[in-house]
Amino acid sequence: MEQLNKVGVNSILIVFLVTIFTGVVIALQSAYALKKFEAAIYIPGMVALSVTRELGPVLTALIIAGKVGASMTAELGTMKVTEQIDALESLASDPVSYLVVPRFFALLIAVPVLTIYGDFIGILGGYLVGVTKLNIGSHMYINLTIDSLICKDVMTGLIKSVFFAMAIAIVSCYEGMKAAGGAEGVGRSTTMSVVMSFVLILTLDVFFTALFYFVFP
Amino acid sequence: MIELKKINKNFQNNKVLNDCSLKINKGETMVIIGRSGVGKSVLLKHIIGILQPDSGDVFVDGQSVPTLKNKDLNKLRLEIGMLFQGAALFDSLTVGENVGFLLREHTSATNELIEKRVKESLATVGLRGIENLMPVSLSGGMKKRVGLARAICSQDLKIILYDEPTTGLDPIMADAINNLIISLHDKLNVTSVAVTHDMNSAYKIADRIAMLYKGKIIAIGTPQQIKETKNPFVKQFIAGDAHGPITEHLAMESQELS
Repeated sequence: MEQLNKVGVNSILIVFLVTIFTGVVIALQSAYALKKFEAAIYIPGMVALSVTRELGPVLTALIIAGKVGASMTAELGTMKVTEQIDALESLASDPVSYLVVPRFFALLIAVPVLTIYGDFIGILGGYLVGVTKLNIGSHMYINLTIDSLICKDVMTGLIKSVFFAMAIAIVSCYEGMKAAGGAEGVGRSTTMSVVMSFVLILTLDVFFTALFYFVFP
Repeated sequence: MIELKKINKNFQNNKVLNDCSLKINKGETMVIIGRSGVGKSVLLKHIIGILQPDSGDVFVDGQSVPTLKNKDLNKLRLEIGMLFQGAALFDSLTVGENVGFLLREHTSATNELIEKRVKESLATVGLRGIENLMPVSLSGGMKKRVGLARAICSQDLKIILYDEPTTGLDPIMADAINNLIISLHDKLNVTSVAVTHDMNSAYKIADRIAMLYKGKIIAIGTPQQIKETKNPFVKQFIAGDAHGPITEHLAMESQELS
């Protein structure tokens, strides 16, 4: 519960900021491209699809990897180099079940939930641009969004986010638990953890996007 | 009681323990001396199963520690308390939660009983009324004592391991910790193993002293025997002399390397 609070609740604001700006930017950029063809009507659909299928899950995961994953690695790494992990073992407790498992499940719950929230806020960003600047009516925008989205779009995004969560948890806990060499070592592990998580998230994203495109068209 | 049999341990091609053997009798206080980085802490961590030997065996109470299943190893750990060099208190828990950790996680003791035991353990190390403080707000000496209180909180303690119990403390606090180790030994009737390079502490608390050098125990005896040793390596170490066979060997080795 404490971990869920750390991972989830404390990330609401940053996910809000990043996804709303992304929604705004996609709406503006697609408006720039589509206005030439008088096709502004496709903007709600473009925002909704790109946010739910791609940017919502990926950006949320990247934010969590940078913010939460890094702090997990730093915390576990510090515990490791100050012998707190050894102390845990000496007190007959398994560090994996005591430290890693709660963090793993907190991420497994928080990342998909934050992704749904990020999807919603991203669409809201597009809506604000659409209604205030592009003269698409409020009702019209909402209807166009709902029409263009199907359950599969949201679901594929969520499936991705579950795997992203696992990647972040495994990488950041592993890097933390194997930290060595004092403060410098913890710094190195933390950097490694963020870099590895980012690369893994983007690699998994390519893999799942291709899988969903070719296997479940 | 505790027996290390021909233990070998390497870290990244660095041979830390090399066919190291040592027998510690029930109820005695054994102090292992040696230079920093010689593998004293590594040796201690083999006794409680935090580290596994590459080869060789460790027996505690007749049980081979490296081959114990997790469940049995954790059962054995309930009988062993360990004081870590930097105390290794869990920063996210209060002093009280740190001290009562083992009872809370591994016994069915009620909250009242745990509180009582925590108070008793803290009183044993001379601390009172600090249960609700966080470890960050404690001084080095207090942290060590809380670490010691946590190590002795178990109800069926048979062995206490001390990793550099007096390092980093002022001489008065160091002596207080020495007295504490002696009184715990008498009061709880436990087998104690301490590793240190503080010779004052070693002479004061030890029944026997063993010196670890190049991964092996090179001398073992009562404090008096160690003081009167003819072994030039031990002589240099206990006298704290910058010139002697230990440093000469080191210089020769670094010459060979370059």
